[in-house]
Amino acid sequence: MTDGKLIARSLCGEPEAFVEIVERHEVAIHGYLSRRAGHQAADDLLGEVWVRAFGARRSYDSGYDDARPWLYGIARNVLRAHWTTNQPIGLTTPEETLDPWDEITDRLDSAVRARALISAVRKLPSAERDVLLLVAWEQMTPAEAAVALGIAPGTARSRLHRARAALRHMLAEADANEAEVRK
Amino acid sequence: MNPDREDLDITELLSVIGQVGPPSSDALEDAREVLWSAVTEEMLSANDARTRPAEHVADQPQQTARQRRQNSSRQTEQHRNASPGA
Repeated sequence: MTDGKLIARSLCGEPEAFVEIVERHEVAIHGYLSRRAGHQAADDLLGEVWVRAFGARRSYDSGYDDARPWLYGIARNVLRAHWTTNQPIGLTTPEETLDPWDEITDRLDSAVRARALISAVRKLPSAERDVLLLVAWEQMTPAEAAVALGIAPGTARSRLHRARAALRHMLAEADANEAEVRK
Repeated sequence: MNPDREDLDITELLSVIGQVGPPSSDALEDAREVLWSAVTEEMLSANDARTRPAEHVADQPQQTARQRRQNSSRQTEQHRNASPGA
C-alpha cells in the first residue's frame, strides 16, 4: 500500500495506520536529522517530527504516493525550530567521516578538500544549501527536494545549479590557495 | 577539470561528509512512543465524540480533557507493555 493510501486510512478512523508510515521512513528521517544537527539531536527531535507530521497529515497531498519529501519538509521545520535555540547549522567534520585506513596521502588530500568543501557549503545561502544537501545526502531528485522545501521544481533546479557552481568556484579557489602554500 | 567531472567529485565528497551511523533501536522506539501517544489521544477523542452526548461534553470540558490524558497514558502504557522486546 502506498504512503498516500496509508495516510488516507489514518484519516478515516484508523489513525494507527500512520505508524506504518513512520516505520517505513524513520531511518531515513533520523539520518537527515543526524547529518544536519548531530546524532543526539536527531534522537531528541525524531519524535517531534512524527507528532507534527501526524497532526499535519490532513494537509498531505494524496496525489503523492511517497511521503518521504513531505516528511523531510516537516523535519526541516523541526530543525529550524531547533536551530533557533541552538547552533545555526550542523555539518559533521571530516575527521569523523573519512576512512582512517585509506592510503595516507589520499586521506590527507581528501581531508583538505573535505574541509574546504564543508567551509564552502557553510558559505552558501541557506536556500541553496537546503536543496543541495537534500539531493546529495538524501538522494532526492530536485523535484522531490522542491516538495520538501515547498518551492517550485524549477526553483529547486536553479538553486541546485547555483549551489554547484558556487561550490566549484570556491573549491577551485581553495585548490589554488593550497597549491600556492605547497610551492 | 570539466564541470561535469567536478560535479561528480563534489557529489562524492559530499556523500563522504554526509555519512552517519545508523540510529539505535531505542531512539526509534522512543520516537514511536511519542507518536503512539498522539495516536491514542486521537483515538480516544474520536471515541468520546461517538459515545458522549454533545451537551454532556460541553458541560464538563475540563474533566473530559483530564480523563483523556489519563486514558491516553493508560493506553500508551498498555501499548508499551504489549510491544515486542518491552
